[in-house]
Amino acid sequence: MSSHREAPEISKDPVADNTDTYAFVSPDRPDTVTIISNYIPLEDPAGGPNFFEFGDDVLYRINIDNTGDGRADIAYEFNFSTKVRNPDTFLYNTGPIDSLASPNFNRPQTYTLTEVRGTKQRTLGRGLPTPPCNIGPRSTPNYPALASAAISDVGDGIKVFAGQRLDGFYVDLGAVFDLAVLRPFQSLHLIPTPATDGVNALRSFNVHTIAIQVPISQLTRNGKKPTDVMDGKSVIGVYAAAYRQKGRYQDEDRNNWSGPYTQVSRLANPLFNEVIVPMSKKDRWNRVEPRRDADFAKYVAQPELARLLPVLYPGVFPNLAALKKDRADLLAILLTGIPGGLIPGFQNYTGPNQADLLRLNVAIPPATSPRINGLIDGDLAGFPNGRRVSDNVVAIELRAIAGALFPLVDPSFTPDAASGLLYDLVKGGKDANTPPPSVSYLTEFPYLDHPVSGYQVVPLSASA
Amino acid sequence: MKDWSRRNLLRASAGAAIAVPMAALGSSVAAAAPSSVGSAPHASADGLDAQGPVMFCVHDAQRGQVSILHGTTEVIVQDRQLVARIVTAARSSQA
Repeated sequence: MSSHREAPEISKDPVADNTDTYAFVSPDRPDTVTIISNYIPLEDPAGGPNFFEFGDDVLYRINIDNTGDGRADIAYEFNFSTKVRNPDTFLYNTGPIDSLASPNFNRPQTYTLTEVRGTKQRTLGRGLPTPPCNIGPRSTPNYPALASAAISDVGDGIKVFAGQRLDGFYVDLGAVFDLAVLRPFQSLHLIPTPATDGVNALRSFNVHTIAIQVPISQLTRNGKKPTDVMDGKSVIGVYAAAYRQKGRYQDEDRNNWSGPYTQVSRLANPLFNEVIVPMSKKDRWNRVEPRRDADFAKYVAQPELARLLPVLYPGVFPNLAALKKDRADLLAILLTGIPGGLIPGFQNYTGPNQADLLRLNVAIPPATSPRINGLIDGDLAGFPNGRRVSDNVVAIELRAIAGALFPLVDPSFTPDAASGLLYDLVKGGKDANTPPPSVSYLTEFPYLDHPVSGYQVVPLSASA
Repeated sequence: MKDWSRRNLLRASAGAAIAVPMAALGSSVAAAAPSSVGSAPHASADGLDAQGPVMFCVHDAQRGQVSILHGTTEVIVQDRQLVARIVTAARSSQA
């Protein structure tokens, strides 16, 4: 998955498990950037009576590096607090929840939002509301109204939301994790199977979303909204992370925490820790800051999956099999950004410091006709220029790992024809420029759609 | 058997650590890096208890170092006597 349960330790701590991070120039407010980070993978919508919520003991943070050193220059911290209105019932809600103030909402969760710049902190909001989980038509009869009421304007043009959403990421996990069954080459796999349509394994699962929309001028190095795409100051690096205090002492009544916050999960580029970092290093990767990612560069330079593809698909990737050079294309895409001069009119380079960040060139306006395959389909506003909620990131990264973009850095290399065709679920391109039908999005903040309710979802629906 | 529950041990040892004169600690206490956006996050929570319990961890008794966690800070104290007492208490709990 993008980063759902991607490492052994964090898979046991779902409230701190960052599943996806997005950063894009807001299509309906192009003077702003929207950054989204999701947590709690694979929420079964019917998972009551203790429905999903953020961890009160987790510090969630969205980090922005605008100086290219891999360190956060600006951060937005989210800290949650849960109340129990009626301690004498087992119920999440004691009747219909028709407003966020409803006494029937038995576990309201609020949060404090803090902006940190250097050593300066500024509280942007306290007691900001979150909506309940979407339970069903009796308990949460007008869910869109509840969710809308939880969007807060906190001043200075900043908008924020935290709460449950439909997972907007899509992938055919069943195929990918069954020894990398990839389309359209199922019949050419070492263990062949007939060609079938893909299944979105995340269909009907929810996540918990933290979303913030900030004027571009508040995120750039010089405090301005840039217009020159090729100017280095036009690029920001983004990663989201979760932190827990170092010490935990559990007694009969509660968990007690003490000590400084330490990073337990992070995420920028989708699939980095999941597919690039080997099992023995995944937990460490989650615990170190991106500025130390040079330690992981060797796994990007010689990715395991690139070696596996020619083995699993004999004869399909001969040129990839012969490619022994370090993958300067992947090192650029994932760790430094793509320098100018490789793709006409584009760069998202942040300098030589290697750090896994979502690099967004904020001088590039939102696309009028977005392409889900982003940059590889000529859409400069799409992944890996930041990441939009509907971008087809699995197919894009599969093709990149298979060598489709290597000619950008080495014109003597001829990619295998197969590298431009790979996909798991949605091929993208001119004939398939839409996400699967099981996923939907909003056209305005927070862009990820309302969560599906436990009552309404059809368990194990096979439709993609 | 002595009542060396973890809670009692924490209370006893935390008290001992706090009792060490600050002047004596001057050269042997290493506080965690100051909070800034480029390092560990700040404590900005109204959902978290800013004080909370005092906890400690002895990673390597031979070095005489104890890491003390309190609120959202960590101090590393170099105190062989304190560590020796903690180790003795820990061994007593196994008797």
